[in-house]
Amino acid sequence: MRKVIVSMVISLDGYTETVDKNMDWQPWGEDMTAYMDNFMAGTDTILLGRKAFELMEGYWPTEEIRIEEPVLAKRMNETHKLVFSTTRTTTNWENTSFADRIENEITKLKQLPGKDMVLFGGGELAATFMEKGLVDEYHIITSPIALGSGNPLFKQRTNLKLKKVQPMPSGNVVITYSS
Amino acid sequence: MSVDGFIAGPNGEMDWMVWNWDDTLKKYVNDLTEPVDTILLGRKLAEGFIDAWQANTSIPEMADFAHKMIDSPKIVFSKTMKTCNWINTEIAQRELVEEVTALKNKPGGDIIAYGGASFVGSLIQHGLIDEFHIFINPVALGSGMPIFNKLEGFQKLNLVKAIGFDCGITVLHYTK
Repeated sequence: MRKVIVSMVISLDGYTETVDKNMDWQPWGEDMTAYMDNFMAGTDTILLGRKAFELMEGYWPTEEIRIEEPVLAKRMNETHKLVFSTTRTTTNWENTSFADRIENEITKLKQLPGKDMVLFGGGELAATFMEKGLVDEYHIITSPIALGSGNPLFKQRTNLKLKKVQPMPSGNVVITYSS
Repeated sequence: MSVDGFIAGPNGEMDWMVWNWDDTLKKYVNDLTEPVDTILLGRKLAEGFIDAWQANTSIPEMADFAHKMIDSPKIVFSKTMKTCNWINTEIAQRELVEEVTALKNKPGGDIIAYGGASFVGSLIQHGLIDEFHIFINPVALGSGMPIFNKLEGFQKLNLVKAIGFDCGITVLHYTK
């Protein structure tokens, strides 16, 4: 059955970003682009909340980013995006559809044949999915940096099962857990 | 440590930790602690644990670790205690940076710290730690006792290796 996967970069002390939303500290090299490209090949849907969607619709389809980040831009633009929003219903960003009832939609989608669905974590949608127990796997990209303070990915106790550990040349470690 | 960076729950809870280490992980820990001749700890951990380790020698999966804790020479850092009755333990007479720097400059084996959170936080804050072997348990807590919260800026580390073990623990080995 299709899985819902939360994929997120976190600091060694568990933060997705600093308190003032800085994410520049995350080390990212060609190894990580290759990793992400390979990961996304196993997915056919990107799940987005409204805020993440609005940031991305102004970024990935632009000419500038298609040139600067060809591999990831291709994945982000060509993979189907499902946006959960009560206010947005249309966009110029290709391959995007909208829904507003999370549990109904996800239950329906999991019954259909298809690849996995990815939720790039950190925002409200990821928190909602985690609260409702809708996440099947976590792909935690642990950076070799401690921030001291920031916004955490996990807001409550979450028991996990270790599946895989992948150290990367950039110093990140991709740790895969199932729920 | 939990997946989200805590070494204990908000009230010091440790019930979430995996203790049934598989043989490969036990070997990793033995190899790591073989050259250790001094354990540093804060007063709170010392008070909470030195007697508990004595009791834990009768719990099969904790026995090896407990014996190592009891038998190794220990130095406790405390602002209030001057002496103690714990076996193989002395109280540091100098303040933290001075004492640890002096220890590192002496010939001898490796020095290890396991906690508590506040004590290790101070070691990190003063840049006194050369290597980290972080045992990530397969659970996120949401809240608890952190060790990197006294940092005044980001602390970048160099990854040496990362290994997943059958019992569910991931060991992350970093140098400064």
